[in-house]
Amino acid sequence: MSAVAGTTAVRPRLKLRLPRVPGALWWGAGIVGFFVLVALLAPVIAPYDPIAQDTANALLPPGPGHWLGTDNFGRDVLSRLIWGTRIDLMMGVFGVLFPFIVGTAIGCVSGYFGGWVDVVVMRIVDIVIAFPFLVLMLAIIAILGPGLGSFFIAMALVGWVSYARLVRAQVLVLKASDFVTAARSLGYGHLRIMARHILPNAMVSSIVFSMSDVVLTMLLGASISYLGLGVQPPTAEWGVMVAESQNFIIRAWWIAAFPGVALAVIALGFSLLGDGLGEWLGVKE
Amino acid sequence: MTAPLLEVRDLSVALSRAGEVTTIVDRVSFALEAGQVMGLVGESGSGKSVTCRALIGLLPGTLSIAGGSVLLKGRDLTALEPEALRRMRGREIGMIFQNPSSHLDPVMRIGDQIAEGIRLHRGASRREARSAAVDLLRQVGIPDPEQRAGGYPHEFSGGMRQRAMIATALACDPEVLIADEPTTALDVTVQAQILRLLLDLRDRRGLAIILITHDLGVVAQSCDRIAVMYGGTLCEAGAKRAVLAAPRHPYTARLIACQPSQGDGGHLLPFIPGQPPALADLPSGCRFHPRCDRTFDRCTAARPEPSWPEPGHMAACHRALGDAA
Repeated sequence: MSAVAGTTAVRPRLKLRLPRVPGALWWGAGIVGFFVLVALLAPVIAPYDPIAQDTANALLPPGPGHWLGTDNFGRDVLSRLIWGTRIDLMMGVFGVLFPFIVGTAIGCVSGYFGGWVDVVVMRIVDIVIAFPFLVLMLAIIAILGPGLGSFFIAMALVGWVSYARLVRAQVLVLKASDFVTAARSLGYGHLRIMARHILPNAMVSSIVFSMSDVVLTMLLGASISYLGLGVQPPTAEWGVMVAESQNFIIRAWWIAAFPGVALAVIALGFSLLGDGLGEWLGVKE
Repeated sequence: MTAPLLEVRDLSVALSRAGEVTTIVDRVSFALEAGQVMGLVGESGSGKSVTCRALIGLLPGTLSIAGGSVLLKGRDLTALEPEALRRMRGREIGMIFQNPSSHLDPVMRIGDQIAEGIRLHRGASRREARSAAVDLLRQVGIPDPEQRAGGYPHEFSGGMRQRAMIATALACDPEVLIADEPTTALDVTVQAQILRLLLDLRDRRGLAIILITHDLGVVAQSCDRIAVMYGGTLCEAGAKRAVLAAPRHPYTARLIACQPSQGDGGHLLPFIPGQPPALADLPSGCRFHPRCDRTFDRCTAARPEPSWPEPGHMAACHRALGDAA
């Protein structure tokens, strides 16, 4: 009898412990994980030096020796693609992380305290949003000078507004919620309530949003590099690769195609990750 | 005679909205000794929750204390600075709420929620707080507390959540516990368990408890004293036995008559006709007179002042001292 009771007690727990994670989350995590692995192992798996020129073998089509062909300087496209993963992932992740941190902090304070702080912050947000995003980015980068550092600074200055709005909206709801009242009835201070009780609850939807934002940021980073204001040649970066290849696109389609495909696939990966995470954590867009 | 642990004197709370000021709690007074349970009874909107929110200084933005004092061990809480009031909250007066599901942080482990108060108010180390939290879970009757401390609120049943919330309030070691309809959201069987737990904690810790409820059955089971509110005023207060056995205010009498009792199945329960008064548009004189069946001319003209038909038994009714009036 006790053995039977034992098995019935274990069964449902096993079911519960295997979380019902949506398939999108697995696929997204798989794709993103693959690219992260590629980025980490770049020195090991890249067959050639990504910036070593070999003009004798320029514009070779994909084939043995150069699986994805070579570009106009004879650089191996596969190696450049692999090394470029590092730069592009970094742009996506840090280009989101800085605005995420800045926006979350500002949005939380703004929503929690309200009053004139909130009014001032939200008007600044309106002003930033009123400008076309890319124009503002390009203007800031033009002032700071092209480069990856400028890109991150510009992202932090412009991108925080969406996070600030998102978090503020959540905080407004949460600060009136019952458990925050309960926390106040226990004599907790504002900082403790904000950091330990409101933020962990408020961040769920902005974390989900940040996943899809990574996609946009990577595309933005590639576009800005394409326009010559981001990563500078000869560094291997997908946007740079596409930009450099455009004069040869008719003769050598492979130079532009593979970075493009890589960007599309990683974008799909992050989108799936974001959607799956949202579904799993119960966030409605 | 020593001063009571908690004494509320003529406490008034006002609502200010769009320049208009409405008094929603009007000169409420009561006192509570350590180890006593006072039932605060009244219909929805009678001001019982607002009164208690005022006690711990947690009134929503539009409400404010308009007068009176709250003396805790002789110290007036209404005169405290916000920061001092915050430090008092939880440590001296704790509060538990009607809906335990929404009053626990959904993304924090139960054990951590309890330990947080212990660390803040008693300055305990992480490890001490952790074991104290497990100990509190055991005290409030949660089985297998070591394991349950690592669980999240959604993994707890309603009754268990209420026990966990009581543990978070006790973590700060308060002397007065305000229980705002702690059993309303629970099954009848669980209700009795929670009430027993509260009484048990009262006995062990000498806790004074204010039990807000609209269920006179709960009061009859668990309270030492009873205070009845109607339309933002206290209409009757006194020892539970005296009030329930011989109510002096017609509202209390009608409330008691509306309670179902065993063995009278098949009969419709009596009810009090009419609606509780809108606080913005109070009737003249006694606030209960439009629904009262014992009115006479003075009821519409003058508000009854508190009178004491017997020592410790207050009733705010013109007839409280006898029908001869």
